[in-house]
Amino acid sequence: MKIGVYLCECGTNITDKVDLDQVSQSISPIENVAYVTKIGLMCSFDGINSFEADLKANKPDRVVIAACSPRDHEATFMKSMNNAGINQYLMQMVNFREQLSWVTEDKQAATDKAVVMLKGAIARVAYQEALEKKSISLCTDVLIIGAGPAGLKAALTIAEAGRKVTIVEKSPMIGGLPVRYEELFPKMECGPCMLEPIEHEILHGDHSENIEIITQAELLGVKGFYGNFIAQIKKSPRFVDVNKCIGCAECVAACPVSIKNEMNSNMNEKKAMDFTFFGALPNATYIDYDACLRSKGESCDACQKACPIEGTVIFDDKEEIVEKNIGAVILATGAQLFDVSALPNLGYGKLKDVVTSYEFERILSSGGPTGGQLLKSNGEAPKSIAIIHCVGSLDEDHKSYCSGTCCQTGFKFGHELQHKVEGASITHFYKQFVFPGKSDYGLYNESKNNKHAKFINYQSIKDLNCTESEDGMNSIAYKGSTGKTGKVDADLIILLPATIPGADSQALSGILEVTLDKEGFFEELHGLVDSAQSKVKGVYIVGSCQSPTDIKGAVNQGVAAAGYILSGLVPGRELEIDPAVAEVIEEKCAGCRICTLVCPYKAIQFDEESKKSTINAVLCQGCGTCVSACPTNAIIGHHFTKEEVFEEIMGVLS
Amino acid sequence: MIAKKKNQDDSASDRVDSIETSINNLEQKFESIENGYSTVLNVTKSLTDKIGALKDVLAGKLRTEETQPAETVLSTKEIIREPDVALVAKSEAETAVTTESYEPKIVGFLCNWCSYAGADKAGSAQNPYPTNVRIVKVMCSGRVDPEFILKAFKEGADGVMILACHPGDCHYKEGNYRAAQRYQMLKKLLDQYGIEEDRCYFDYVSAGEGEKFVKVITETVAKVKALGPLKLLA
Repeated sequence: MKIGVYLCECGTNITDKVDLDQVSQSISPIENVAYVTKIGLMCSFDGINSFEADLKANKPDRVVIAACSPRDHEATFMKSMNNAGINQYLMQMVNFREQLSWVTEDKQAATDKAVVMLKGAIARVAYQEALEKKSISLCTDVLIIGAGPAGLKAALTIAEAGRKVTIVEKSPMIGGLPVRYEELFPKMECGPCMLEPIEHEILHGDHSENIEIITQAELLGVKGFYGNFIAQIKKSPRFVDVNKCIGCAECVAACPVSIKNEMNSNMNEKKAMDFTFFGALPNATYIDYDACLRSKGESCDACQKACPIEGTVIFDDKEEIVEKNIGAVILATGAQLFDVSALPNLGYGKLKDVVTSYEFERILSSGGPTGGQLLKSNGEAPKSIAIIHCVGSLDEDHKSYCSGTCCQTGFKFGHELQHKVEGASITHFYKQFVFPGKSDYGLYNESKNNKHAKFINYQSIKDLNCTESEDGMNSIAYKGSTGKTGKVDADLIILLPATIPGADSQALSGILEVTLDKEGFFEELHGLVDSAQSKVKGVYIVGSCQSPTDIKGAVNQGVAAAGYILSGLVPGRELEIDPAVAEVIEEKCAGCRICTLVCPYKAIQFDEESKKSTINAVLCQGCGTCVSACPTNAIIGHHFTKEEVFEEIMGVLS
Repeated sequence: MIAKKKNQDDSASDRVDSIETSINNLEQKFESIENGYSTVLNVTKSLTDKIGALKDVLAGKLRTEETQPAETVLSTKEIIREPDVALVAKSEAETAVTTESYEPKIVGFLCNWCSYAGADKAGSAQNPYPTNVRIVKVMCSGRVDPEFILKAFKEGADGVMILACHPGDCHYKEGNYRAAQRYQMLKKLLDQYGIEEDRCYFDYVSAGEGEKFVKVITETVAKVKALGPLKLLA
């Protein structure tokens, strides 16, 4: 074996403290060391050229480079190895600068240590293997779970790049929560007006042929890995052909069954055959089968008879299981509100006219239970309104985090109330206010300048007690943060509950093996630089399923996930697999499965038939944790094999 | 007068007699107390012996458990393999050689992302430290096989350091937790070989903690220097 050793002087950075001639003399006699070459500044243009020329001329079997930290220039020199036709993994770097010349005062001590360091690398490099990068074909189609703003914008971005997208939505409509809100903070933009163009783009736009929407559907299972997933989707029957329905509502009028309208928090009624709400897209009705007379064995066909287009109402529509081959998954499943009945002192569910933020959004909505008129349950307009912020948020007994968006929602309500009920008194009970960003303080300022608005700071939600007075009015007895107590009349109480993870998060976490954080939100790969990526490669987490966020944050994450996918899964390009990963030697594997338990990436599968573990090279990140855990030495950690590390240990101790 | 004196003498002699009798009685009592005391002592001693014996049995049992890695596997889903080398430390007297010129050899296993970067940070800051530590880079502290440490001691290392990412910072999510678990078991194993705890140091050093890197290196070198060279019987 012929080992070439290159010593970089790094200007004088290394030679100031290390006598390279002495080092050269000490290591030259070592077995396999064919030559030792000094280069002035190896990473410079000239340095790289002379290194590559030298490699081509000398054709060493292995190369050792003593220079700066491998974190600086290992990749540079690996490229040179490739350019010279030598496998890049047959090189070992020794950190002569950061870990020697810059940290050692005595020149002789540094020179002695330099020899020891080189001996380790020389011993190790002889055992290094030529590793070849492999590649596999990949699927560039994308599955998006959830059709809220984040999911829709991600879908559009990917579809516009010519890629196929499947959107799975559990409700019969797209648009998520904000499409149900009459106006959106911070600029009081109309929710449907903002989102409907996006929805139309998805349904009928230039790239809509690339987008398939499956409503009333859920993800049943996912097999495979990044670039090669197979997803199983369960589609519940709608009983209405979305492509034929023209949204005329004849069937709704004909339907004899009225049920509570869940969309409006049961504040009014709808038909068993109905829209989710008027204006919901896709513009098609659906049958709530459990409420339909047909589910009770009756032979009602009023809707079918009323429908002007034959074949639209399909009574024998069946549940379907759809399989999709996809390369990546975006989870955009959104969030829900904290259950305020956990705080009985607020009177929710017991007192009338105590509503949550979602319920109040629906009261404000023109498609809501009051047709957009601001009315209490008795049909009168409220005169005094209390808005309780931070319900369940910033609360060690409930959700310790700040939900981030409720302040803005509260002041949006303040704005609406101020304009809809002239002279109405509005009391904001709050723990903390947050309005970061360039436009988020506007609504707060407006409330601050409203002479009918007042602000009461409280410390604990337990300090608020909502009761019904003798005159039938609600009132709130409170203890403020200063200890001052008081009572405020409020004939309408609006609660702003904490944002909590969506109901499906747990199930999806199980299906996709995506981890949840301690609050139950999907856990990001990195909170600052990779918040739209989960810890499972190829599974992205966007919007409020990852953390409480506003529409802006959710949409940005959706588009970010699209970016990761468009750059990572490129049609015609294969998925390159890093060869410095772990591999099971089948005949040594005893089938104990310890490796499957320690792998942080779920990259190890256990084959029940052969009773052996196998490592998926695409998912393996090369940490080597399984290699150390294997009790039978059946796993090789390529480029950090036991032999290589042992040789290095012996080398540095010789 | 004389009679009176005689009476006095008689009475004095009687008193002496009675005192003598009392002393005798006291002596007898004392003797019996002494006997009683020695009985108590004997009982105590026998009890102490029994407790000692029980302790030995218990310690022996614990030791047996410690030397059965298979049981550890069941409880922690982790494993420490039987080393392929038999290491036995010599007595303390033989190893306690401390001379000024003695420079210990220490092998430092550093993970690529945090602690190796932390060492580089110390370099960029040109913050000097002793040359005793020879760094072996691994991608993750989770790759640090307990065998690596045993191998290092076998090959002549006087000390070993394992430096990992801080909890929660691991580039590979949880490799550092594995390293921390393995270190706990490794300590017990090294103790059985008579290798002092200070010879195997585990800590977390982040990519930004150049100063901490210098501190732990300097301290470990000093501790191992104080222990003197590690001598192992093959």
